[in-house]
Amino acid sequence: MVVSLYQIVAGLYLIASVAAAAGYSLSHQGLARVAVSTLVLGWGLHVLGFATLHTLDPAPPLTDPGVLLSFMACVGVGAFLLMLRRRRLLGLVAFVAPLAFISVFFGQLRFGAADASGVTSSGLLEHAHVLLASAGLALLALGSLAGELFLVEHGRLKRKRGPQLGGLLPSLEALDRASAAALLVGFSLLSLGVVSGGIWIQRFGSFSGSDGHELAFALFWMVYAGLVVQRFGARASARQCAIGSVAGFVLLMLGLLGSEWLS
Amino acid sequence: MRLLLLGVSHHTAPLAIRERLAVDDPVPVLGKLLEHEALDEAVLLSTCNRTEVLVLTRDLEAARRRLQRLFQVELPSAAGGISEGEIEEFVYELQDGEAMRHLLRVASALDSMVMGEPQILGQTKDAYRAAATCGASGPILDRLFQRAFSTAKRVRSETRLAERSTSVARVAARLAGQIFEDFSEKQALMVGAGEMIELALAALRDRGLERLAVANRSAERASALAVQYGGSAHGLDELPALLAEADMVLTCIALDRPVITSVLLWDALRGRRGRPLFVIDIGVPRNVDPAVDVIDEVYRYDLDDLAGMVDENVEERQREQARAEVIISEEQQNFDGWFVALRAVPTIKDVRARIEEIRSSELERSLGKLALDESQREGVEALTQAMVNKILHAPLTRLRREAEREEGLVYLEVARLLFGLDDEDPPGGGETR
Repeated sequence: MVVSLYQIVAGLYLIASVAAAAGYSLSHQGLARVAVSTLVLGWGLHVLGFATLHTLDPAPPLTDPGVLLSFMACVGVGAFLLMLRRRRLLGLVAFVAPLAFISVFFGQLRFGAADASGVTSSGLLEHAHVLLASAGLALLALGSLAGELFLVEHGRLKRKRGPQLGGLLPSLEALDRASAAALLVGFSLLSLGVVSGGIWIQRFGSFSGSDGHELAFALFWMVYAGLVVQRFGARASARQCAIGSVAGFVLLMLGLLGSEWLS
Repeated sequence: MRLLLLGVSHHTAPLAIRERLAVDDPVPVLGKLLEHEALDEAVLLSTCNRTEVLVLTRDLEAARRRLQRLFQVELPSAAGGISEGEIEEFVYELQDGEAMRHLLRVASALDSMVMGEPQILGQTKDAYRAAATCGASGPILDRLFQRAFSTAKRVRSETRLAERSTSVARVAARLAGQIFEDFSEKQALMVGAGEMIELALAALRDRGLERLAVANRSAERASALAVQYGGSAHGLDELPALLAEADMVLTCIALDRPVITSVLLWDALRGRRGRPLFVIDIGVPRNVDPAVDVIDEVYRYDLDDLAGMVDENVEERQREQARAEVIISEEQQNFDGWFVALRAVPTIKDVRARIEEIRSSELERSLGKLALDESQREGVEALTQAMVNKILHAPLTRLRREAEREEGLVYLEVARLLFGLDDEDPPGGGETR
């Protein structure tokens, strides 16, 4: 039942992706709006699916990459839909929907083969750590996506290439603000995740310094703290902030993959 | 009489060269040109996209040398920063029919960077008015320019080319839309004024722009513009403070150097916390130093940039352009006929003079032999005058008409031969019985 629900969610995200791609290539705002509506429907079912995930037997652990990927997609889509209410970010759906589809599709493939020996999901602290850090990462990914699009648009405008076809992509200002909001909220959630993880380590394990995962997260936190200072304190230009947000996320991904590989 | 045109335009020269050859006041230049004995009439047109001189001359070669000197020596040395030989490759030359057609196309905005733009007609009128005021234009160029103005009106009313200029303004507004999310909270700064700027401003207002400041050299002019556009008025000395507040800058002011430099912008942007600044520069010479492009937050577009981005229906433009070219051809043909017919004028004058000479001498001789009172003498005088006019009317009309065609020039030759106009001892000039 839950797996079927996830498959429906993946299907809806796929429809949203196709509609968004068509809207983008045909410069058709109506199609982009259809994509957003489908994304909203998919997201509602996604939340429902996540809430009923524990009914699976065996329930997949929260550290399962499939579950994490799917959860991050859920948070990312939710954050995007929330931003869409305040900002003119319609064109971003052409990038968010495919990413959400890929995450949910590959995530749900692992549900049946989930390794129940991973981190158990019994304690509140573990839940808090994994969910907060993952939500933070999802928002930072969204901020990085906005930053990347900002850089592409900025480069095009600086090269005086003319207005984009159809004008579906959000304005630089909207992308910058979206990136800033995602960074601020994402960093806050990541901080809470790091703190809850730290408390967990203090209670149930020791922080030896050799644990790649913990070290990596401590470094990510410092890197993103620097990016927050750059954006909100050092008055850096929007382009510098976008570069920071993209570079930060690339570093984060490389670090996570590296730490997973090492462990 | 020959027409000769020399010039540089956006087709042949980059903005950096055009802005150095721009002439603020054509009157002194025209005055110097007309000191040359080969030049009878002259008009100088200098806009953001071209500097052209059209002259009427009796000695084409001498006129060409004089205009070449103007473009290659005098204008570059006045502007500075360009060596004499540097301009040569950018200057084009047109003669007679080609020069005529070119003027009609320029006035009709067919030769403009933004085809159909409204400013060029006004600029052509200004150039003509300046030449007329200082006596540089005469009957031929007067007539040619009047023809150019009426052609431009026909092109505007009979084709849809004029609509194209609004697309540049729309491009500007769309570019602004890709930088800013909400125009209602943005502040625009207008430096100077111009029709393209007004169109761009209107397009931005359509998208919600409300706040506007106007800066100009004179406070009175700034106030007038501010009233016209519904903004606050300022002098150019307030630019640093205005730039610090502005989100969009539209400039079109006649100054020989950039009014917005990168130093000025760096200072102005210091307190903006990375807010972007969108700049449309329609001025020539450019009002905004292109070096500001290195500033991350500044998105600057000049006329070249905007015109290059116009997304248009190429097929429709070509169709409208073809219609306009037909109008140009018709008007050129009309003027060309008149202009070529001017070649008949000296011959016609000579024929009339020769016949009048014969009539006068014969009349004088006959009247000496007749005892006529005053009224009778006047009667005979009028009679011979009327006879001469009647006899000459048909051949001279025919001569004038034939001279409008290139092939008809032979009639002029024949007339000169028959009446011995070029002979030292013409027939009928000697003793008659």
